Amino acid sequence: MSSNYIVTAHKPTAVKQCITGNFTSGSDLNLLISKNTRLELFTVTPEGLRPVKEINIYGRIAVLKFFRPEGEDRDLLFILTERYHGCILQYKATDGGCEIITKASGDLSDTVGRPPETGIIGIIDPTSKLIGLRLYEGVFKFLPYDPTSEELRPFNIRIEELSVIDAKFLHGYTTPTLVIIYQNSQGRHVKTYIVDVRDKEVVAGPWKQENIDAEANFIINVPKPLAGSIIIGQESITYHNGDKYIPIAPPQIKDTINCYAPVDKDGSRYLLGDLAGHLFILLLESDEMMDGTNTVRDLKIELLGEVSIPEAISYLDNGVVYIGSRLGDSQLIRLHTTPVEVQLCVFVLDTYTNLGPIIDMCVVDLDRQGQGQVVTCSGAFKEGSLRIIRNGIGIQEHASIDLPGIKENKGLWPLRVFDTSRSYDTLVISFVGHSRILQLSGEEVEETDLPGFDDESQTFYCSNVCHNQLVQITEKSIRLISHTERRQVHEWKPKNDRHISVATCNKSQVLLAIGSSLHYFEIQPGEVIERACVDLPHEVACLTIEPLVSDPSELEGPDFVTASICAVGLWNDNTARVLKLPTLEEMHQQKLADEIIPRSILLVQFDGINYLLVTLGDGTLFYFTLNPETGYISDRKKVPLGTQPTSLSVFTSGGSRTVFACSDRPTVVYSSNKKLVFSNVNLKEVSHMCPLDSDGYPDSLALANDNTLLIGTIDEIQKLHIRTVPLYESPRRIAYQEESQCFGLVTLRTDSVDATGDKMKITRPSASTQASVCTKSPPVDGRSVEGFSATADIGSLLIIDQHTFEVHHAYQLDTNEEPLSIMSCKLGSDPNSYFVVGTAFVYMEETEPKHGRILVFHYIDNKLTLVAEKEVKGAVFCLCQFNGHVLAAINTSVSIYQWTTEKELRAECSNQSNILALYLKCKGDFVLVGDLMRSMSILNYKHVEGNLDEIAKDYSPNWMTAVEILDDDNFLGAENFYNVFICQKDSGATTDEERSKLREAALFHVGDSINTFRHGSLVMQNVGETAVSSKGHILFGTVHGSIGVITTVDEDLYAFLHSIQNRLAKVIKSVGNIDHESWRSFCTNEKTEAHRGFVDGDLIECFLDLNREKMAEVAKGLMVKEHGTKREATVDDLIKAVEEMNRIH
Amino acid sequence: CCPKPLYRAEAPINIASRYFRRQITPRWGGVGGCARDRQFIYSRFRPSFVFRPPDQENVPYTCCAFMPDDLSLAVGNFQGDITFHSLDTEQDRVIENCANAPIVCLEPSRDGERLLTVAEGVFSNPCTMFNVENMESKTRFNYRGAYHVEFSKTTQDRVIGTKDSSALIYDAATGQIIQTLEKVNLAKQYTCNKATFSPNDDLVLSDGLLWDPRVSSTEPIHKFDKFNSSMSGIFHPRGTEVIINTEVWDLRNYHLLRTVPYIDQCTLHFNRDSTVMYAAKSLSHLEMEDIDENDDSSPGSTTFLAIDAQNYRPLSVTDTKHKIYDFAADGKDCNLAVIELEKWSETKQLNYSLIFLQRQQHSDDNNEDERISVCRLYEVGKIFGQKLIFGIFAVHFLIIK
Repeated sequence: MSSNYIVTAHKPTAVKQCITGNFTSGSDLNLLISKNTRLELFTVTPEGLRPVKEINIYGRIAVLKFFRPEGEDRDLLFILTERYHGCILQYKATDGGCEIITKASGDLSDTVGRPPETGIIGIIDPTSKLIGLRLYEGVFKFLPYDPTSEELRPFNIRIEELSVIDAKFLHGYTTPTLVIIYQNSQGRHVKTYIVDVRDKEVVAGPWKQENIDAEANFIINVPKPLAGSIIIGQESITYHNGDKYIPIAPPQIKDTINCYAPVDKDGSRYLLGDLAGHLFILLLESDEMMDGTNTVRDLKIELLGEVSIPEAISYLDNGVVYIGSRLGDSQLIRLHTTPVEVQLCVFVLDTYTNLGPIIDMCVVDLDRQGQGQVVTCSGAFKEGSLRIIRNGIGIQEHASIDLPGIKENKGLWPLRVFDTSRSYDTLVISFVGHSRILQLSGEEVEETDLPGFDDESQTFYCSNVCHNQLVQITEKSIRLISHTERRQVHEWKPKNDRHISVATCNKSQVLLAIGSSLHYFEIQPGEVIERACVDLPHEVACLTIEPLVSDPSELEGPDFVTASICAVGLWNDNTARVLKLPTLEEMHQQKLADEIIPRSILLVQFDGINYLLVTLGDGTLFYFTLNPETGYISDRKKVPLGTQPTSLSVFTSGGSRTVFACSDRPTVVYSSNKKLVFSNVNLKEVSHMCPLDSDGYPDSLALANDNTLLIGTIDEIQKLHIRTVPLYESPRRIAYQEESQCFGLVTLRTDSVDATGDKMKITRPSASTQASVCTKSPPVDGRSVEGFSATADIGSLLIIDQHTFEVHHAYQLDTNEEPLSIMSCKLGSDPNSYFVVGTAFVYMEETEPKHGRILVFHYIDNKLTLVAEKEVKGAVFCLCQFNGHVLAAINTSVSIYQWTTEKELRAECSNQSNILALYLKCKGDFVLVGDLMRSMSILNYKHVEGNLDEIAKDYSPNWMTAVEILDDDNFLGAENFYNVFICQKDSGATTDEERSKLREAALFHVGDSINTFRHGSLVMQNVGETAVSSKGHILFGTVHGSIGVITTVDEDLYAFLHSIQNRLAKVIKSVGNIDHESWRSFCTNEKTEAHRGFVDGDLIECFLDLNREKMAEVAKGLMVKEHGTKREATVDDLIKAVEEMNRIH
Repeated sequence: CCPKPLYRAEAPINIASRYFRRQITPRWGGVGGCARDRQFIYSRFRPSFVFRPPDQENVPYTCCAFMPDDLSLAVGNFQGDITFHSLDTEQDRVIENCANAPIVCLEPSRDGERLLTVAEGVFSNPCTMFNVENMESKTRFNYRGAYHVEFSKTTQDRVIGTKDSSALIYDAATGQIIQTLEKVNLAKQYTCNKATFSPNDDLVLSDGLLWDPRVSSTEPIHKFDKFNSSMSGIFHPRGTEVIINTEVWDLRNYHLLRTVPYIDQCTLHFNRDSTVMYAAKSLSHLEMEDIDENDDSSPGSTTFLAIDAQNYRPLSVTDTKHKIYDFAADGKDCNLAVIELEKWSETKQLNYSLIFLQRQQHSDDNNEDERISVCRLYEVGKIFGQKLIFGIFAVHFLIIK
């Protein structure tokens, strides 16, 4: 039995398809983007793309089409998954949200039939009456749209052509007419068919054309009035409508055109994108005939410019185009009618980060904070890049001021003193017994005095308030300082010389406590007037009078909002109380904890929801939702933030309210999708913080820690922070070397070869051509390539600085030599750290590489030296450090090389039991091997005999894409049909035979191809947190750019989560009525097995988005184990369990 | 709207390039990548372990079949005995006298509980179903009248037998005949007709005729053109094609799809997921007796082919250097078992020391030119000619022999 939890930490970002339509209403223009299993729905507005909804589909989306049947006022959506589940969806607006309704759904698979290698084709007839699908070779499936039916009732029609490349329905015919490109032994041809829906048959259509472009690969169906079709080939573009045949062979087109988007409704202009990232416009020039019809006269094509390598294009409106990219970042661009520069009509409005395809990655702790960062090799070709992914939020430091004693500071406030413009110019820093004032002029900071300001006392609060006044609250008094008169105009002192213990204020209201009595004031011109005073049962520990506003700008200006409620936290009984203003009448109270007193309290509104946040002395944060009318607080949730008393400050970032929690683990609290998100900040400790928006430091934060005052800006808020280092060439493998503080990266770029000879020309400046130092390998393999090729792939090793990500050195490999693997390691007793690179000589015509090299590099003092090289008989697919030796997977063999004292690699022993050993991982004396097709096997190295023996293997035929060792007995593998599985070694078995078999202990369908597994975690391992009973964090990176986490949980927790999962699968209705069980089942071409051993974290974490009633429905009847006894679980138990799981990523 | 995903770029030939391409473009690194991977794997067969008849008796093996769990191999011999050779333990199970004639065909049911055997007698072919659990007690059904039997495909609740040109459908549980498919007055029948069910059990192919047993027992729904006189054909497990000797017919419109000359007169077996077809000219024991001792060079009779079952292109030809009686593919694409007719003298040359040693002990009392049929396993995807790994097979070998 294996019990694991698998969850997506970063959603897929690679765009596969995008379509436009009027989905949310007849007048809205919507953009729908598909990213593997997710759909993102946007509305196109003049301000840009407005997100409407994210839709999660239990399947990989193969077909995505909008269509509008007669009688509908807006579009419906047809989706087909790769496992042939079809559904028709409709948008429905609900109170405060929206929902996607499944109008009809069904399984469209056949029991027999061969899935075509060219993929699934899905098309919809222009009248929206008929959906056409090519799911199997030689068969078209037609699905007449029936608005009354909840089931999809398709019928099959056989066609003679087996290999259909593309198909479309033609415009301008009364009966559905299909045009197809098909391939047979003679080449590619175009043919039309008329579909007879009643008799369920097809008859030959009005025209056909044989022997078109040998690589014609898609058809554009031109709408009326022009009608007809455009056939896009490798070298030619052809217009054909049966009567007219207009081919052009434009010289601009050099690469494969792979996507298009119509620009006009009349079908006269189209955008075309190619695999090199060129964007073209295709224009159909037409003549108006005597009878009023239009006919196409000519085709014109124009290069518009360069964009991200597109996978799909959507023309939105007004020259704005969405470029969906699978290999790089997607873009929103604007097309200019007149070229801004030569050949440049493309202006990028926005880019959308895409991590996919994640080819390789490594987990490093660059900031040495105990928190891992992931560095991925992302993208390919010109979109190749490194991405540095870190959980939390970064503060970009702009200035740091050393202030001795700042460690003892008690508070930090910004003021507008010297001019009354919007920006701040002064910082007030409070200490025990005194306060200091810093003036900011431009980027300069100097200490200053403020008339009327008491700097001989500790300041409790200080702020600009209404009527052009400043307020300073000290332990002695409230001081009101006039801005215009530059003096104190009013002072309120507590009676009997009592001391103020805590205080706060907003623009016009002051709240303070003297021991257990709470006082409320309003600020008027020239005076503060006490409006109410109550005695509370205990002393006040913290208080807040922050007005609840959705838009931060409502706090400013003449019509600022005042608070109608306030909240306090008390000593002794440790309660939080909500009080009404101005009467200070208690509305609600809530006990927080038994022992620990509240330290900071805050009222804040995020995303329209009011929250009360309270932190305790031990660093715990409680948060509640608050009803401002009744003051009632509910939905208590608890998050451990740090271990020290934590203070909360609110500021505005990116137009929305954000809370900064200052402690030993500073955290930013914000709301995303109406859910609070807690993000770590890349600072060690922050005692106080205030927002600062000065001329010199716009939109900044002032942060006090240890001995310095930091001024910095906060990154755009997101849970995972991603930094991009573009390479402009394909990255392949990455390794980190701590000693040299560098990354070793192997890449491949494509140079063009001069037609006259073998002179190479760099096509595009990239990381390997722009390094500080470039060196080349001397020729090793003198073989020349037969036949002329216009391009040559150049492999390089790059040494990249871990801080600046500059390329220090580029080492270019031999011609035809490609790098396949890299590692950083120490070898034998040699104290040096080396980068070891495995290569292969790759010739196009060979089925497998016949030889390669293992190269050992040493990088020190900015110098890269090739220390040793070893020729091997094959491709070095993978390298691993193994007991001070080099372990290499070379074609069929796994070999050990020893590092001799002469600094040479000497073959020690090898194991030959693989078809192709592609992946290696090792632990102790054990090696896990991932084979091309023969799943995983375990090898054991016997030191004495010097043998590498196979001791166990999995006999199932699995085509591996990544492997990882979980522990001594559990091995994780990912395979080619988007599944993961865990194999167990049975060390306790009595017979050799049993021991030699790996048992499948866990199976799960991920739905994405996993390219790499790494041990590591994206979150800091919390100190004070109630430990989640999980061990071992594995991160994985996928082709679609998602990052996932796999962790092993104990069996009790697994059982609990598993029962939550089963209930959630029933409570949460899937879009398209796809069964969760079947979606997650381990499925390959020829077998399907129920998933087991994994809990689907993506589903589990949906629990937190449910409303309370649904949560209760899930919780009902669930049992939880506590201190050895079982009891019924409450909703809060579930929330706690799920939130803890949520915190592992 | 958007175009479909395009796979214009064909998968590279070199597997190292394909390996990186599939990290960007799953699943196979481009169009044709899957076929290229098959070509790569199924062009390599490494001879590994050899099962030999117990030396005292020297009864030649005649046919073989992997049991569905792929843990053991059932082998039938000339005397009608069946041996279950375990692939990873030393526990072999020999059941003697399962038939009174050489066993020519073994077919275990998918659950591994039942075993169909066909023996080839001089006057009749006894076809029998055994319960694998207690074969020793000889509990069996005999399918009288049929000279070849096989299971239905989807549910295996029926057994189809062949008697000349007619197909007999039996209830597997009772052995009762449910239906007889026979068209009278047909001119000429196939000499080795073997009636067979289609993969979804809807259709039956017998004697070049396609039957829908639910419709009629006397009128076939189609008659395929006859291009050869012996092989009556099989269904492609994918269900849309029928292969009759060298001709591949489209089951949906009965058009001739292609002709595959290199599988002429070959017995066909498919791999696990029906992507690869193995073909070999297996000889019956009757034919075997007629073979000229020195005619090892007769073309095609010592080789087995791997053929891409999607496009019928040959993937590889492996020469066993021996006449082939029968062969079988396992369900995990690990091994191919081939019953080969081997010369005594040859074994000595084998660079397989264990066999060599074992052979030495017995070679004295045998004629050097005498032949013996053995069952040799070929490991799929492994390279020939490399040092063999003395794994569990070898251990097993030492213990049992």
